[in-house]
Amino acid sequence: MEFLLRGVTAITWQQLVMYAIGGLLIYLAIEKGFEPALLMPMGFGAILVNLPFSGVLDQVLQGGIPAPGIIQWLFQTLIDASEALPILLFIGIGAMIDFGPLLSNPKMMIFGAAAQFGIFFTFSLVTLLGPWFGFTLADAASIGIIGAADGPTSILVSKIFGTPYFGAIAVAAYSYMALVPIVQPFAIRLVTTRKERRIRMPYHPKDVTRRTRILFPILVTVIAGLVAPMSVALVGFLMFGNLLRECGVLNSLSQTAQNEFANIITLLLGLTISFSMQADAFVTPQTLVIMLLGLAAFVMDTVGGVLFAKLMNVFLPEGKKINPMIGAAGISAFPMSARVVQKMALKEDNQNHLLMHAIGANVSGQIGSVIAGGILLYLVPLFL
Amino acid sequence: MENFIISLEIMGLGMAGIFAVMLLIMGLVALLAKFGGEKPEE
Repeated sequence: MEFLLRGVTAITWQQLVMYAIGGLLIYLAIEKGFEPALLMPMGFGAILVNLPFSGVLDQVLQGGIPAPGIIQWLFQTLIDASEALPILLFIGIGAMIDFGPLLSNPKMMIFGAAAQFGIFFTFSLVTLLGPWFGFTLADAASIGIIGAADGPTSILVSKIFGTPYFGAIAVAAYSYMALVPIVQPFAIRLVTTRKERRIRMPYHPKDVTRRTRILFPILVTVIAGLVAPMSVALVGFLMFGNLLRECGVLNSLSQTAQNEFANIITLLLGLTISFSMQADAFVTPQTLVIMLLGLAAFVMDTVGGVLFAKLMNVFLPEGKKINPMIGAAGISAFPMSARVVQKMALKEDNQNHLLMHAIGANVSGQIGSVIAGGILLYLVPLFL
Repeated sequence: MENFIISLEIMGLGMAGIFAVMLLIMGLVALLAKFGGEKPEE
């Protein structure tokens, strides 16, 4: 009967740590409501892949009989071989986004660029830490992209760069996206005064024609594709999803992309990523460092957006000033970031409604983050 | 240290690239708003 105890006796302390991490992710998802659609499958998957001789991973049985594992197959096929899952998810995300608030107030577009600062700041920070922790330039870019605040982009970029820290990066990206309501108010308060947070911004939306809504995703794809060709897979699928939504003749496809399609991909993505959460690769000092660097990336994204808004205010006349908190909404975490800004504005002044401005900046962050990912994919290999 | 210098160069190029693309799109949206034509959406 000793075979019944084979699994129990094979458990390592690193695997016990992974059960605790898996349990924590499940707790955060269910009890705290933090990105439950991803953290729950990832947490459960972390337990699945760390059970000794787990059948979800490829095993060789006695007598040399191969037994393929489903999570390993999903990872190798849908992420390793093709990056299909994160890219396909962009169709669903694109179909969910209404670019209307951005199209009626296009100057918000600039914050989608400024709030990508955390990516590059963290990238540089990692290169400084590289000698101590063994991070290469490609690892640094992969860790920096956590600052895209965009799970699929982080997964795609870190996978293409082939970093061994893929699992920690995915966990950090999704965990901090879930923690935006905690991280961003702290960072915003660091670099703004109460007076600045009380700046009012009247909202005068301009009309957006149907033709504009249809042309926008096509033209953005072409521009991004010509300037940053590596971003085409990301921007193209995001904008294809948006075109499904806006064209007006594919409503059922648009609904499917927003709901069933996005849900199926999300469900598979969480479980599939857990393949990279195997104890021997995950329980390392580097994972802890990456979690801290991810936090730095989100804080510096927020700081970059806010400081850029403050810089713009130097040149803007009185009455046209921008509430600097809007800059913080230029990250890709949609719609959490816009909601954070709205909540903070109302807390300072219960008549200050910034939601529509913040949503404009927030959807531009969706575009900015995928372009940042494409630019990193193009630039970093030039220096390797 | 060499990687740090490279990272600063990539930071400069990257941020400039993102701003360039976003400004280009912003200009395009402004043009679309001007010449987008037909009646506004409800």
